[in-house]
Amino acid sequence: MSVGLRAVEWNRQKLAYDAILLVCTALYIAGYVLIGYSTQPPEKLPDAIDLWIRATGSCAFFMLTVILCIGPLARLDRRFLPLLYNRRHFGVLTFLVALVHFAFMLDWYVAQDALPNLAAELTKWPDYAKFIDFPFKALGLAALLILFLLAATSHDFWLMVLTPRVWKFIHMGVYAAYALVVMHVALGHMQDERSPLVPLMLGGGFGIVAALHLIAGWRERKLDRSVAAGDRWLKVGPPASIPDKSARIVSAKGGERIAVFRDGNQVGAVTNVCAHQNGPLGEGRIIDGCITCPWHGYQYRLADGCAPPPFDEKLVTFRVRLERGLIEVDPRPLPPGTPAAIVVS
Amino acid sequence: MTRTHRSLHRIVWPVLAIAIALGVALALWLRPPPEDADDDARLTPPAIALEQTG
Repeated sequence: MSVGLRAVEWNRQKLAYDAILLVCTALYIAGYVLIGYSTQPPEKLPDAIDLWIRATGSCAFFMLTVILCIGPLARLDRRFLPLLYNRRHFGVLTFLVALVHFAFMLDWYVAQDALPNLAAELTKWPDYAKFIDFPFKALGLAALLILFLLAATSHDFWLMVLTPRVWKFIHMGVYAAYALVVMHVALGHMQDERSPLVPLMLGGGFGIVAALHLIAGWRERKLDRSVAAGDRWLKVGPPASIPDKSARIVSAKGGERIAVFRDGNQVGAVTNVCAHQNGPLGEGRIIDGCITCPWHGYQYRLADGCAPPPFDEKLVTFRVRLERGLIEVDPRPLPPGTPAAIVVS
Repeated sequence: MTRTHRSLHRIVWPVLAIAIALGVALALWLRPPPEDADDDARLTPPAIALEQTG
């Protein structure tokens, strides 16, 4: 959908998504601070600031944990796809919460007229060779810089400039940011706080994220390995084995996956990789006569892989044929936008 | 997702999971014992305590 750079289009779903995000974030932070004030009222200003540091820091950690769960969850169960739709706004909000956490940390030093201490802490080079006394704030700062880079390049403008492949690679930096955040907490707050809640939440959060990614990766590996090799044409199955208005995905050896769609009696094959953000097209459906990406709703015609006018994205297509009652696909890609769908009786 | 992207994921996550699990476990194992006010009082040398009372 790129006849030119278009401003972000707001729709009801995006507004609802963002409203829920903002309300949940505000409720978490306000709840944390209120509970803190009621159970152990801060005696001095630095104690009060410390409460806000913990509220915003833990909030950013939970938000990042949820964000990293969305991708594998959506791959394991389609019901989580709506969460993926506006994940970028979730990411930007997480960066903003982390930025507020950083601002409160600076305020904590300023309130005690001890800002030079922070600089001294960060430039105490021998401590970087230690494990327990490692300057954990440097880890948080590095994570914040990565989150800034990701938030700053989150708009589709950068996706277009950098190309989806490079953009995706850069945005995988969120894994490094999460690892830095986990160690920031483990070497910082967890060293002072004796409550078992901190290691439980830290280990639990990271454990869930890692487990989901490992399970999703293992499932994908199985699919990548089930490659029909040998024949030049890949067997898909009888036309009826492809669910109407949906696809079956086949893999060519060493190549990208191919999504074979059926819309009534029309069968066509396109690359499984969406031109927008490399989303898995084959997991989408045909809506309004167009293949619709499950991630962000980008659409392409089944007949030729072209986005409907006025948009100009084109997908690589593949030749299909009906041979002895079976749909077969030629894994050699045709130039993007080449008509290749067939009508089967 | 492209094949390269999927392959990268399959390499990154096991490495990250092991490294971070080890890091958190070590940070938990090596953290210093809590400072206890009563312990400090018990550790006060008797000589000092006598000086203070005398």
